[in-house]
Amino acid sequence: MRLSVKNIYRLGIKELRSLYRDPVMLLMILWAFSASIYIAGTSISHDLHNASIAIVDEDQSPLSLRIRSAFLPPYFKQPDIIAFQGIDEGMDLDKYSFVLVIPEEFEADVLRGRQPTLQVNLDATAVMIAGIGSGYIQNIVNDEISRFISNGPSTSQSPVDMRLRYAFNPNLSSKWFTSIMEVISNITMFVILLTGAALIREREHGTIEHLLVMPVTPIEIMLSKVWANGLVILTATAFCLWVVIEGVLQVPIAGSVPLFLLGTLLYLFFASALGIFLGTTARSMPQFGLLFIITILPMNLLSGGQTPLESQPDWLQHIMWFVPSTHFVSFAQAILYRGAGLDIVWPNFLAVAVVGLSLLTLSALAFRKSIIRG
Amino acid sequence: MEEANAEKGGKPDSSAAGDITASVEDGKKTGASLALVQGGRRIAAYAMREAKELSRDRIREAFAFFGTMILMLVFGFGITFDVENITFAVLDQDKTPESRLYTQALEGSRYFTEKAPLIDHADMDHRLKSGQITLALDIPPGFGKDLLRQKSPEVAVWVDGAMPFRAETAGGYMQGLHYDFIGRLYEDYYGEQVALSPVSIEPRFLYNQGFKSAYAIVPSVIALMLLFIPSILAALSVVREKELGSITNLYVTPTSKFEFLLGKQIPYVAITMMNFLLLVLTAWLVFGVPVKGSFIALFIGAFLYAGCTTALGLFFSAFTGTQIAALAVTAIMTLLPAVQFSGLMQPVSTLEGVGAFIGRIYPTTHFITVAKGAFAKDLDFAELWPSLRALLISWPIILTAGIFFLKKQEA
Repeated sequence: MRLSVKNIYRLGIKELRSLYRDPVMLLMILWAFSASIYIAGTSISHDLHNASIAIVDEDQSPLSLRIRSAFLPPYFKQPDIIAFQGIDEGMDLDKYSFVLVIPEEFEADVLRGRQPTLQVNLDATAVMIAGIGSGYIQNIVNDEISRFISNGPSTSQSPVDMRLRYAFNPNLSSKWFTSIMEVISNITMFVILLTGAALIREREHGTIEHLLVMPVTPIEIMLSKVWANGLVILTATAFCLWVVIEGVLQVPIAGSVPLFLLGTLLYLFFASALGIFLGTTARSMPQFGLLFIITILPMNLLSGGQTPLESQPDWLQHIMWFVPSTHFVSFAQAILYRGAGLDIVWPNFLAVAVVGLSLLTLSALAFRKSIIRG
Repeated sequence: MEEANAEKGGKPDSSAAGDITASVEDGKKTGASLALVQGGRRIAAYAMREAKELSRDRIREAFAFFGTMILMLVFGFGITFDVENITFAVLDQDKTPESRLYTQALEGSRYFTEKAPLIDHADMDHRLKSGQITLALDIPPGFGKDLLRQKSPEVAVWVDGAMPFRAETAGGYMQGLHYDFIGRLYEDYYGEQVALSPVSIEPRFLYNQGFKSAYAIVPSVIALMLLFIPSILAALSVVREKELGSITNLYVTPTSKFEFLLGKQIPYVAITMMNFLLLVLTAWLVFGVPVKGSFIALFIGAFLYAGCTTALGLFFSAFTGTQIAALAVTAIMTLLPAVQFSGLMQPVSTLEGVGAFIGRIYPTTHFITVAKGAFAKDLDFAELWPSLRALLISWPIILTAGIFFLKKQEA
């Protein structure tokens, strides 16, 4: 079988034309790679931010007042002072994420060196904020107390110091992380949609019959979809990185954007192959919609872009290793945040390419079969 | 006007016929109730039609049920915010018993996993960059000597900040280990127990004693599952008719837009509710997360939420003419708000900007509150009422918006 580059080119132009005729779809692509990224980047902070806290102050001493006033924005909202009986209600109704209880005689016990106990109530169903928040509260309280005591007898110097620094993102800005993870998720979503759904549409409208009676092969039809839709998404991604993320959101990109785009290109092969595969498996658009959600959700939530990969059970980590979106997230972090070069990310590139190529072959076979089957 | 009358005098009774004085009123009433009966019939017809289409598509049916089940299992086990298995490596430039004592603190921690030691700073750089290690510990030469001479040596710790939440938690663990080391040092070298902190802080984990992600994640995952699939199916059910042409039935028959959309909605709400029961059963039997609070409230919440999510799909369908665009709109407009802004990842109160606004009005936020309240917090109906009320209000608003934007005739 010979592939005609001209056919592939022409059919791709046809794809672009049909996309151009769907203004809602164009608007959605534009939205997904601009406003959506901006909203995600500016709305979320993974670190402690605006946490609601209440304090039960049974001591009412100068020290407890100091602790009360130490909870400051942007980390905490102005603390509410509540009664002990109010704890359960406040926590039940999600009014507070934390309630700190300062017991009676607290200051006196601190000064006598009796090591009194402070209780911190945490809403442990908000796992992410509870873990980080308890650390913050601990530090704030300890700081206040040591400052309070150091007015009196001076504390001895620590025998060893630790300097803790965060590499590649010194202020742990969440904007960097969420905006780029959002781009990755949108790339996956649109490529699968554009290739797969376009295939279903041709089948539902019967225009695939037109293609089949023309002197073009199924492979040519498929490759034309890959290049045309890939081009659209690659352009959107480049625009998004340079204009929205670097320009508007002011995220410093450590590594090479062209290298990242090269990786994206490899990933596009995989994603469009997956789209075509789903498009040949499903017999109607609602079926495709279901398949789409069932594949895209795990790729979105489990590839390490939203939740830590390393904490997943082993069997799931093994499965996710074969899913290119995991590698995509991994090399995106390496290139864009850590400034890694090809010498570091090539194993990820290779993995994406191998899985992508295998799936492309598989979908080509499935596509041919489905066309012959009609 | 007629519809308003229908609402008021809506009882389809024949007993009123005996009342002669109100005969004029009555005539109006029968006309109105006739219209209502016809409208009801049309709604039922559309619902039947849609249900039939669904029931004939076995694959769609199977996916609607088992797809959500599979996702629930994968997410229930897979989404976790427990920060564990943090990889680290040590650049020990000192190699004394003291420096080894320090690294032992990390080796013993269940949160950390040790990798081969670092050779030099270039190696450290490379392995942090490639993501092979998340944390690097750099112990300077002369560490042990300085420690014994009480010259306060300094160790440096680098944490990969690429994933902020994980980095922050890892940094917190490291701080804890550092204090542990100091405590052990005093014990080993000076033979005294010291209280490093003047107070002890006792965390009390409410609702989830083991502080395990599963307990927090399962109720939220149910909320996600009842959103995507119902809204996509509902959106496609309308746009499909537009694209394939059968929408003409709406254009040329007396069916109102309200009847059409409600008829479309009913079977999808029914399917969503069956799905909901299946998910609650899975939560209980597979994840051991039973409903502690009011099941009635949870059920009503799910029903209202199903109404909202299917109505959302119908709303998106009003703007789109092709099924591809409908899929894209629904996916974009549900995925980001539900995953990021509805309290799955972090409380809505901590969001800012546009996200905070979306989070406050999005139905998923309210259902997650209901689900967490009913599953984990043992809340009763009255305590869940504010969130239920929000869902109760949202449904008609979204549906009305859908009716408003749906065109009765092609432009």
